[in-house]
Amino acid sequence: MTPIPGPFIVLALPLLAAALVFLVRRWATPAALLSATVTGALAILCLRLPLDRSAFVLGQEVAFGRPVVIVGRTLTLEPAGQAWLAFGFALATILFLVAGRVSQGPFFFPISLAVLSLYGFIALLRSLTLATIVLAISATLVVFIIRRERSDPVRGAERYLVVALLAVPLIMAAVWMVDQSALEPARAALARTALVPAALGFGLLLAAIPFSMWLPALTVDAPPLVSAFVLTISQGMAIYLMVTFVASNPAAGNMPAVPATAQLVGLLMAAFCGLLAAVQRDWGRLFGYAALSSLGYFLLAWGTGSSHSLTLALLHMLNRAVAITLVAAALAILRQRAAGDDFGRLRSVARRLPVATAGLVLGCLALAGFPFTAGFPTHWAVLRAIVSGEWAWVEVIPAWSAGLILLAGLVGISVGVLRGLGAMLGDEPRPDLPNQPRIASALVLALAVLATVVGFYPQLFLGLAQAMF
Amino acid sequence: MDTFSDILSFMAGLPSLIGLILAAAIIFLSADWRLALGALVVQYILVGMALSPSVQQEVVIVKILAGVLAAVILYLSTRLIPRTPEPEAAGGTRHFLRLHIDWSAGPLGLPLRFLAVLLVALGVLRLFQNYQPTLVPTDLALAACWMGGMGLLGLVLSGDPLRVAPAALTILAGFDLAYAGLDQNLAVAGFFGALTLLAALGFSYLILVPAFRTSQAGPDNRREPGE
Repeated sequence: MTPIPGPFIVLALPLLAAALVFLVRRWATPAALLSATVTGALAILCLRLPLDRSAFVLGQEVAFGRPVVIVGRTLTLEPAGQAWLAFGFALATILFLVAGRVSQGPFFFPISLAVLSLYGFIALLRSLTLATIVLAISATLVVFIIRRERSDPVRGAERYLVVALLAVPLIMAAVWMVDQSALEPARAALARTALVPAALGFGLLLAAIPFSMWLPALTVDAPPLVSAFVLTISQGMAIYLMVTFVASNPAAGNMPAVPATAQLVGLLMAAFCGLLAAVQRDWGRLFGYAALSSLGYFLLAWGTGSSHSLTLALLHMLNRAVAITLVAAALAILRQRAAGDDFGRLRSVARRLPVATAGLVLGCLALAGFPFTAGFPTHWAVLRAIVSGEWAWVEVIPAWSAGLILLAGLVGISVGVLRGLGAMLGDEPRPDLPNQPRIASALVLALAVLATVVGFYPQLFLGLAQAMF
Repeated sequence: MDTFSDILSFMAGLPSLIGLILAAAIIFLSADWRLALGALVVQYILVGMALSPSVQQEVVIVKILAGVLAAVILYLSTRLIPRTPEPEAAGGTRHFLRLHIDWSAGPLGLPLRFLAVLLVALGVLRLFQNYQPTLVPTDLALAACWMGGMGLLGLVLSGDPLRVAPAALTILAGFDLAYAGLDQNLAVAGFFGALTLLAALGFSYLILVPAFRTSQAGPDNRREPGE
């Protein structure tokens, strides 16, 4: 019997599940269970199956690394793509399980599965140009699940769609320049020129300063688990494309300006967005700015320039994903039970929703890099690297000043969290609020435990991070 | 097919360049969504014509079809929005052939939008003073830059999905104008066409959702689309 090729499974299974889930979309529990089962199974396959030989799964022979030719294009799963898909499918499984108990809209499951199939396609494609277009196509689908129940429901979705579309020409132009420089030695300078559109394009997708404003708008407008999907899996795919682009462009490794720019933008994001988090009046915006500040540390880690910088950056991305999922799950409960997340309307909510409150506080502190949380080890490593001399702007901003600026970001998020927590405390009885949902709260607790475990045992995801490039 | 080729080869070059510049300017300047979407259709046809000497005819047709379909999707979505009575009756706005031509219609007001167009024109001309057409022919590069500039202005000056959609599609079409000749990969052309269509679908959803929420909330908050 012919073994089933891996690319076929990665592409077809989520799509097939999307079609089935669409039929049962009104029943959240079966839709969530079906979606989570499929993505969980795919995550396990991506983590366990070898690429160099066949393996048997439920009595069926599967050749996970076997290439497939579709319309003249060879689709192959490389080890790095396999690791990225494992990350995406595993995280989607958690999001689906939570969404089964806290509704995120009837289309969350089918559209997320369709988008995951597109991400699988991106991981299988060898052409960065096509992968970029497919990433933008996935963004056009995500727009349909970014909905809010308040007055201005399309701003976040519109901004997300626009940045995804604007990034396409920039990245395609950059990839074309790199290809040309490799084909014709006379055009070698194009590889350096390509870094400008590439920085702009990936900066848009990653919401790097000065293109950050779409992300807080998204976390305000979108259901929290949709925000988490975009902030972790979608931005993860953008990072995957960025890592692939950098690996394909020799100029990116040779120019000191590249890590220096990443460091400067990262420092600005970590500090500025952290300080902005201090003055927010709702958890949605606070979540957005805390996630942005944490993304700044990703750029800082990537820009440190040491031999382990990419590992550190990707490890930070994975730990950050845990924190973001925790905040999103807690925020989903809060929005559902308290009918909003404005600080002004949350008096005494902590008494009725203690697990969600604890999840929000712990998750946001993890995004800030607070000790004993998932964010701390990588934040600390970045801080130490900068203070110990791996700081490119030392003539403009002394290393210790950069460290203090970073600490200001941490303080900003912590102040925002304390303000939010203060707004949720109180002794007034709130009979209008329903009790906390048991299963969803149990999931939040499990995520909180994971976020704490990662804080003490940061190498938990080290193997996955090293496999991602 | 020969007649079609003759038309394409006649229109490629200066006529399509002038048409593209005008179409992109109209999309930005117009306060009326029908005029803007009409200009978007013309723009996609002209992009196809401008590309016809350097790109396969089948690809040109696919590009034109994808663009025109995207404009049709936006048009049909906008037609579904529940509308107020004609603003003339409500008081004030001037019309010509049922199109809004009032100076204050649309974002920023028409005089300031003209000024913005003038600034972009000066910027593009300055950019092209030392341009050497090694990669992209000068006329295509000029039109692409102009479309990119107009599209960016449109994105900056309005948050209304009905104005943002043509602006974003103008940027994509401008890029396609410059890029299609450089990379003639059929898969890229096909996926880019699919992206254009799906982007239009996404924007049409964004146009419709708030409009229907407003109509459910009551008639007092209704407005003319695109304003």
